[in-house]
Amino acid sequence: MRNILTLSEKELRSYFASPMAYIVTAAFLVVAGWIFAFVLINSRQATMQDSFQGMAIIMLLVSPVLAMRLLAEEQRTGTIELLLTSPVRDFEVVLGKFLASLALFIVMLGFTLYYVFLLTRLGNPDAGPILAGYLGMVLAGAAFLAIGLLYSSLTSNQVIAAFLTIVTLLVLLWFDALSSSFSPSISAVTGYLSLTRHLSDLPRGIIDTKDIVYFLSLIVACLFMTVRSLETRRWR
Amino acid sequence: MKSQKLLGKLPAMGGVLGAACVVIALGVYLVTGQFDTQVAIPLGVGLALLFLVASYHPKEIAEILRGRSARYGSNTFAMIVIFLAIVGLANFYSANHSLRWDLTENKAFTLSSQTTEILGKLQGPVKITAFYPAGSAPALEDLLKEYRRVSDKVDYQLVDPDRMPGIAREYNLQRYGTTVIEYQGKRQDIFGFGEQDLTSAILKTIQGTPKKLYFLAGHGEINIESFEGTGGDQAKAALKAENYEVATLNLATAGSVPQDAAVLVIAGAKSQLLDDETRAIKEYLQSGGKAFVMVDPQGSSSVSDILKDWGVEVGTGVVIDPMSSLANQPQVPVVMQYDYSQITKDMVQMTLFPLATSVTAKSSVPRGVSALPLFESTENSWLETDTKTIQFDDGKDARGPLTMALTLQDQDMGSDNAGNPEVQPAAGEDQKRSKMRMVVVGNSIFASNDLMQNPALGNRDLFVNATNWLAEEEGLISIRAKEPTSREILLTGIQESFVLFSSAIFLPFAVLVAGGYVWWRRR
Repeated sequence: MRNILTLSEKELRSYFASPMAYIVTAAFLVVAGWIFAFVLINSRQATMQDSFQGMAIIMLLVSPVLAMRLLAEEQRTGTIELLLTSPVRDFEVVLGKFLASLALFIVMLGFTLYYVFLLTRLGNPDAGPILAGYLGMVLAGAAFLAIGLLYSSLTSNQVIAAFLTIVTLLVLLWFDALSSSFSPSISAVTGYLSLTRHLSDLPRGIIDTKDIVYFLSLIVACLFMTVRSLETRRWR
Repeated sequence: MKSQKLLGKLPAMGGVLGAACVVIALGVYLVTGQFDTQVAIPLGVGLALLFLVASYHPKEIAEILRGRSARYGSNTFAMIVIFLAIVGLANFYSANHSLRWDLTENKAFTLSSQTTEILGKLQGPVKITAFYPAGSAPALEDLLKEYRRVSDKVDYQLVDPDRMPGIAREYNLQRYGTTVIEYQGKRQDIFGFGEQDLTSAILKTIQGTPKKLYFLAGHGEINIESFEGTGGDQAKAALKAENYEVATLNLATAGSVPQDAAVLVIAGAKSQLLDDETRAIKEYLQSGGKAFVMVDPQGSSSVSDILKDWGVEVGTGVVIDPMSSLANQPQVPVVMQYDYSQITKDMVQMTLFPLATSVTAKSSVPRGVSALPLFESTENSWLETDTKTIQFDDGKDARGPLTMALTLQDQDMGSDNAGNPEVQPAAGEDQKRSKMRMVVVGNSIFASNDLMQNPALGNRDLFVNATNWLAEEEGLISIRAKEPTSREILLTGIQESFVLFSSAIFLPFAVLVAGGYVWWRRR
C-alpha cells in the first residue's frame, strides 16, 4: 500500500510540474463552463443534468490525454525496466499510476463545483441528482482513465495510446445507437456495454447498482489487463 | 525471378485474406445474428486459408507454439479470459438484480404502489406506443422506462408520426400526443402523459368486458355510422378508443333500455318519441340509469319532458354570445372557461357549440339529486327566441349567463365528486340501487364529425370525459401527480454575463495563471 501511495505521489508531482496538467484542466473548464452557462441561460433551470452529459463528452476527450503518458513514456525512455526490476510489484505500479491520474481528474472535476455554488446562490437546485451526477462523473472518469492506462501499457507511443483510447470510448458511446441495427441478442449485449445507457440515470438522481457495477467492472478489468500487459514484458 | 518473388509473397497475402474473411463472417453474424451460410462460407474460407498458410510454414509455427512466449502467452491469455468471464457473470447478475435509489427530492422517478400493483396483475405483454415528435416528451419516456423496469411485460416505443407516418397510419392516429395501449387484443388511447393517465388506461384494458353504450336512434339523432360532417362516426371512434362498445338503440322495437347499457346517449332527437319510448327512458333513469342527453333549440319536446321530471328546463331559443363566439357568428358560442367538475377539470382547449340552447336547473330538481353546471355563456349573452332579428329584446329574451351544460346525479353521503355535500339522501331510499347520472348539453352539433375531429378544439375531450363520468370510469384510480418543485432561475442580463464569463473564462484562466506561476518558479 505504501508503495502504491509513494508511486502515486511521485506521479502526481510530475503531473503538476509539467504545463500539460494545467492546460488540459483549463481546456476542460473552458468547454464545461461554456456548456454549463449555455444550458443554464437557455433552460433557466437550476439543474446540472445536461451539464453532466456535456461534461462526460469532454471527459471522453480529456482523460485519454491524462492517461496516455503514464506507461507509454516510461517505455519510450526505458525507465520501465528500472521500475519493473525495482522491488515494487507490477500491480502496485499500475495502481499507483491509476490513482495519480484519478486524483488529478478529481481535482479537475472539483473546479466544476463552482457551477453548483452558482446554482445554489441563484436558485434552488435539488441536491440528490447533483450528488448522484458527480458519483457518475467520477466513476465514468475512472473507467476512461483505466482504459487509457491499458492502451498506454501496450505501446510506447503516447499519440497512438490516446488515439486508440478515444476510438474505444467513442465506440462504447455509440454502442447504444448502433445496437438498433444489430440482431436482438447481440444488441442486448452491445446495449448493455454502451456508456450512454449507464450515464443516463445517475445525472437524473437515480443510483442503480447495475450502473455502478458496470463502471467498476470496466475499471477492474482494464487494470487487470494492464498488469498482465506489464507482465508480458518479462518474457517478450 | 519476378514470379518467384510473387510466390514468396503468396502466404502473407493468403494470411491477410483469411483474416479478412473471418472478420467479414463475424461482421455478418453481428448484423444478422444467425449462423447461416452467409456466415459459414466466409468463416470456412477464412479458416481454411489461415490453415493453409500455417501448413506452408510448419517449422516456424511449431517453433512459435513450443516457445517460451507461447507458454507464457497462453497462460496470460487464459487468465484474462477467465477474469473477463467472471466480470461478465457479475455484470449479468447485477443487470438482472439491480437495486435503485431515487435521490430526487420529490421521488420523481418512483412509481406509486397502485401502479406497481396493477402492473403485477398483467397476464401477458402490454404494448405502449406513444406518438410524439422526437424528443418532445422526455418526461413520458422516463415514465415508460420506469414501467418497463417494474414489469418486463411492458413493451413501449416512442414513434415520431412525421418520421414514421406508416405506423401512425396503421394505428389510425388522429393527433399528436396520443399514446396507444394494447393488451390482449384491447386498445386504449390516451392523451395525457402522467402516471395516472397511463395506469388508468392499463387498468381499463385489464378489466374484463368493455362497457356498452347505446345511441338512441329513429328521431333524427346524430347518426354514429355517418362519415358526413354532421354525422357521428368520430364520436363512435372516440368511444371505441376508450374501450367502449358502441351500438344504436331503437326503443320502439326493443321496448326497454337493455340491461347491459352503461350509458344511453340521446344525441339531439328532433322528432317526437313514442309514448312507450318516453316511458322506457323514464323508467331507465328512475332505476338509476345513466344518460348523456343533448338537446337542440328546435329539438324533440318529448326529451324536454323527460328532463322536466328532473327539474331541468330546456330553453326555447338560441344562445347568442357576441362576447365569446366565432367572428361574425354570434350564434356559435365559444367556451373557454369551465366550472370545476370531474368532467371539465383538465379541459384547457376551447369548445364550440353552434346553435346551442340553455339548460337550466330549476328548484324542481328532486330531493337527493344534485345539479351542477359545467359551463355557461358570458354575461353579455342572451337566449334569442326570435331568430329573424338577432337583437336582445328585454322581457322576451333571457339574459346571460346561461347554463349550456350541467350534470345531474343521485347524491349520497360518500359521494366524492361533482356533488353538493349539503344535499342529504332521501330518507328510506334504497341505498343499494344504482345511482342515476345525467349529463345534459344544450347542443348536439358539438359532437358531430366536423367539430370532433378538429384538433384545435376540446369538443372531443369534453364528449369523452362526459361519457367516462357517466360510465363511472372516471378516476378508476387516483394517483396524485408529482408536482415538480420549481427549479426556475430567472437571470438578469448582468447575471447572465457573470455566469458565462466567470465559468467559461475566469475559472480556466485562473488555472492557467497557477500553472504559469509553477512553471516560472521551477525555471
